[in-house]
Amino acid sequence: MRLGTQLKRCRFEKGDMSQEALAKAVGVTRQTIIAIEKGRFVPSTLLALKLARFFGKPVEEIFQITEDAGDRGEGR
Amino acid sequence: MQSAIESAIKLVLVVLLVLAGLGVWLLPKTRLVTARAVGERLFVVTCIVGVLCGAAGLLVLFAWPQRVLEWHLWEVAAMPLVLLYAYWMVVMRRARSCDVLDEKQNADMTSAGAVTWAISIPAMSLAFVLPDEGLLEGGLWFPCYLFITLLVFSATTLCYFRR
Repeated sequence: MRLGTQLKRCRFEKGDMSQEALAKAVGVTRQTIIAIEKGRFVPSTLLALKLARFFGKPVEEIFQITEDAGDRGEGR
Repeated sequence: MQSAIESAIKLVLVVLLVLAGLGVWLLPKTRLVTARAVGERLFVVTCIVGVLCGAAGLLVLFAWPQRVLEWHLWEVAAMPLVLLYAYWMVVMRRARSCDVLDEKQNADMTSAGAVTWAISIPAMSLAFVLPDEGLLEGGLWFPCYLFITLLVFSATTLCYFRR
């Protein structure tokens, strides 16, 4: 299982907001936003909630669990 | 002559340390420093300085093993990083918190610490096993260990952070 994210789309919907501006708004570095968008870093619950509050959306709309091909056979 | 060089280097190091201590104590009370977090630029600069200090330290250790302790060359090599960490302390005191890194910076440093630990064991084993010419004798193992770990830790942190 992996964490899927719509963070990039949310940024674009909020007037093509830059990664730098978003990072400043939620109090992290730009590299953190870049890593979350690329799926290389899983944010803490606190940061996920901060991002959700900033965009005025539920957390589930920004972050979702996505299953890898190998995960489908896990329950068998 | 040698004693004069040693005394001069020691004096400069002590003056720098006293100035750094005064800076950590006084700067947060002024408006000269406004940062309340270790930003991206400061973090990257610290990593790069760590790599340079680590490489410089190993270089002087291998180039002048007999002078490293006598002339305080390893302290000189480590001083830029010490001054940068003193600035981190200024930022921490300004923020009135030790929590001045963001969660990815913390995670990157944790991962880099694990990598450094794993690499330092074989690296030091190798350093002790290799036929040395007094390189690790007389307390030189400590700067050797310090600069190997500093180099690996700083380079790995930078790689993780930029990934």
